[in-house]
Amino acid sequence: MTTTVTSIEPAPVSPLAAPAPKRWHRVREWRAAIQGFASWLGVGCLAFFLLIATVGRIGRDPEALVTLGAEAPSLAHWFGTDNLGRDVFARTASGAWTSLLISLSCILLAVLIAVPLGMWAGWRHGKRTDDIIMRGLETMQALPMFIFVMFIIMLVGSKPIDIGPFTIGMEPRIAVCLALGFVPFFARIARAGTLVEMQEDYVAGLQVIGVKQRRILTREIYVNVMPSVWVQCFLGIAIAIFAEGGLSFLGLGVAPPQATLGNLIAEAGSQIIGGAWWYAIFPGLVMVIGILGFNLVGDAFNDNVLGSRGEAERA
Amino acid sequence: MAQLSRRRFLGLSVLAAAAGGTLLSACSSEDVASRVASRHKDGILQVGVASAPSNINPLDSGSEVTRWISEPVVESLYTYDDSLASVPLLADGEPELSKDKLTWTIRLRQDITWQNGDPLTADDVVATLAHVTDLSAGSEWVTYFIGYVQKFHAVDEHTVAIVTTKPYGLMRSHLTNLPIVHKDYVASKNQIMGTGPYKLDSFVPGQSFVTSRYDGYHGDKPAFNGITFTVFQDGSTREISLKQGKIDLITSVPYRDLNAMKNESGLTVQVSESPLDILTYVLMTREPFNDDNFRRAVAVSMDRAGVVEKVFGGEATTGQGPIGPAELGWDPSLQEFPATPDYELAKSLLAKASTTRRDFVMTIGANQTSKDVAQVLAAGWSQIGLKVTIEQLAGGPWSNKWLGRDYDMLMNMFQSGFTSGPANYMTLAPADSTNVLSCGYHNEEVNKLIAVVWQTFDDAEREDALKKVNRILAEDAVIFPPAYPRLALARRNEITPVDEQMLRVSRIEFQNLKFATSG
Repeated sequence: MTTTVTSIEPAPVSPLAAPAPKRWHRVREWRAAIQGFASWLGVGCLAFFLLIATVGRIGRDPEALVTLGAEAPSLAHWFGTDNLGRDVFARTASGAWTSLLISLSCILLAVLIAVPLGMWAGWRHGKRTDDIIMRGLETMQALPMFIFVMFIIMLVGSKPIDIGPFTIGMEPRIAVCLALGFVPFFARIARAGTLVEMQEDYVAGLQVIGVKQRRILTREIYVNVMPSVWVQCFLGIAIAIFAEGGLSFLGLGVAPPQATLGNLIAEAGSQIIGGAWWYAIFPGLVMVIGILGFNLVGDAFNDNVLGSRGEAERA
Repeated sequence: MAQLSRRRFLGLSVLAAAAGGTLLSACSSEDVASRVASRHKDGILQVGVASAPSNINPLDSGSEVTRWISEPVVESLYTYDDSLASVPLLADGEPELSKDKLTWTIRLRQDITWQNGDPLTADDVVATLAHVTDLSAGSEWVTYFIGYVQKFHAVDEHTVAIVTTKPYGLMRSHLTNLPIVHKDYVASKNQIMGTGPYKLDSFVPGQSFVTSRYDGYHGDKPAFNGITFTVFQDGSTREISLKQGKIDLITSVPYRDLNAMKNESGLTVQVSESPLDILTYVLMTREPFNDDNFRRAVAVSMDRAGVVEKVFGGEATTGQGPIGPAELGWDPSLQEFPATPDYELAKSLLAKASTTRRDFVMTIGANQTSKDVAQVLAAGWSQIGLKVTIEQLAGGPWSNKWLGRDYDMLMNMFQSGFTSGPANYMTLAPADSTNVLSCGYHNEEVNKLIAVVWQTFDDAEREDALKKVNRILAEDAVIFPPAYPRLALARRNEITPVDEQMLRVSRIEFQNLKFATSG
């Protein structure tokens, strides 16, 4: 048995539990979410960013030195070339892919850690376990996320770490560090969602008929908590792309010659004064479009999916 | 008040932007030459440098970052004349060398005063030597003296004696490059007391250094009332400040902009051979560089031409061994490695290598040029399947890696003129298996030749030994820099040219420049 939530805030118990939505209902809901100009703009931006990050990389070597020096955009090199003669489009596509990969994996990892923690804290609401988890997360939040991540990265260093046959490069380390920064954010959402569900009749009913707590938590409450988390993931990815760009810009991100949107913009800083405008503009534009896309789509889902569920439930 | 419509708001914004733009252009159209002339009325030379040391003690560092700023403030016992021969400056004549060649006796001039008015005495020289030979003081010079200098003392008020453990031919070079500092200031990290024509008045760490003329200077009166050094870390900002006439001379011109700068009216770019090295070391005590074939594969697939053209804009010579064109022991006939990478040979060498590693970490200094060099090289090495991770570190951590022998490949830019003059003796140190900086290479012949370089009093013998070491290290692919860059400066035409001969020993000699218009 499943139900839906109105928001992440505790809400009055509804006497009428919504019927279980079927799969096609969900598809329709997601399609219904993409409404309005802003939503479609978001989808367009997201599609453009994903195209650059995936299809844009095909057949292009971001490290190859293809011209003698910096060249303005042309048919051969759409985004021009940098001072070392590397194709800026290839590097932007590669950078977008790296940024996307780091952002997706960091959000996924953050969700994997945060959701069980948050749900457990919500389930044990008001008890010692809840206190320990939440105080621990608040300690992590004492530092702004970006500063916290910079601190962790400076501690672990930028050199690859060899563990047996495996070498851990900078990308997974950045993803882990960013994920740690996101854990309190998602854990709070999961905890709030759990608290709401705990007040629902179906939970009480399941407890009365003797269903084990773990089963209620993992099979019933979980599915109702996750929509809020997934919607926040879109916004999280946008923040992660921005954070990764910021770290690379400060020289704490992925090491050269591998491109990321952040280190492309950082390297372009001095070249733009010399007239090579294309080297900063295009990677910057792709990054802005990506962040805008994830934000607008996240907003659309937030308004139209969670909002419509809330309205349906209130009705 | 009527509500502002969106269309009206946009229209007003466009108008405001246009008006702002016009105003800005009007402000920037002031004649640069008149701005420079107006600025020069205060008699101050404005210099733009790329970085500044946190410790300004010239006894602690031989790097140009520290020494260019202290150059007008401190002097040494001997100096370089126009032909780069060592001639007395603070010393009163040539040093006396004992028959066993172990004791150097140096008399000091008696007409020299420090910038605080104190007379120069033998105690000052002894204090300077004590500081640079003290292991706990952290002076870069300790590596030149340790093992050679046994003791030193003041014979009388104006005579110093230095006793060495063995004949030490390089001592004359050190006496020509080691600055002498007032005995009360040898350990100071935030004050300099010298005998030069300018005294350091104030500085803001990492930002600016203000000097003024020292009227009690023993030599010719310098032209400027003062010299101010301002730090512009970003190369383009340095260039723009020079173009706009805010400063008179910049160091470390970004190589990528050299050609554009050469075409700028009102500016002159000076490019000169200089003991400027790209230090390139590989650690031979661990994989993958302990494998001869791997090392050779890396060396022959180095994109030297790419580095010369793309990074240095053609203002560099293709690299071979550790010794470059401006340094004693340079051998132009040495052509061990191709200018363009020989990928086929590299692949065949890799196939023969016993190591299975196809990756390594390249630890470079924190400057853009090193980063560009590393990226061009990494792009070339990727053609033979080598994956290179570039690790960029600031000076301290980079040196720690070197000293701790914790690296695969180390690379950084280094000016040796302030410690070795027209040579670079320290660049060979990692090849000496007895040196603390040893990279793990063992070759008795090289050890003996390096000992000859340090000990002989015969310049021809030293040069011959340097040439032999250079060839062996290239042939064994031990030290193989990608290029020997030239030193690039840019100045406004309102000041006189920098002496290019002096650039061969890294000296800019700001104190000898003049305003060209004032004659």
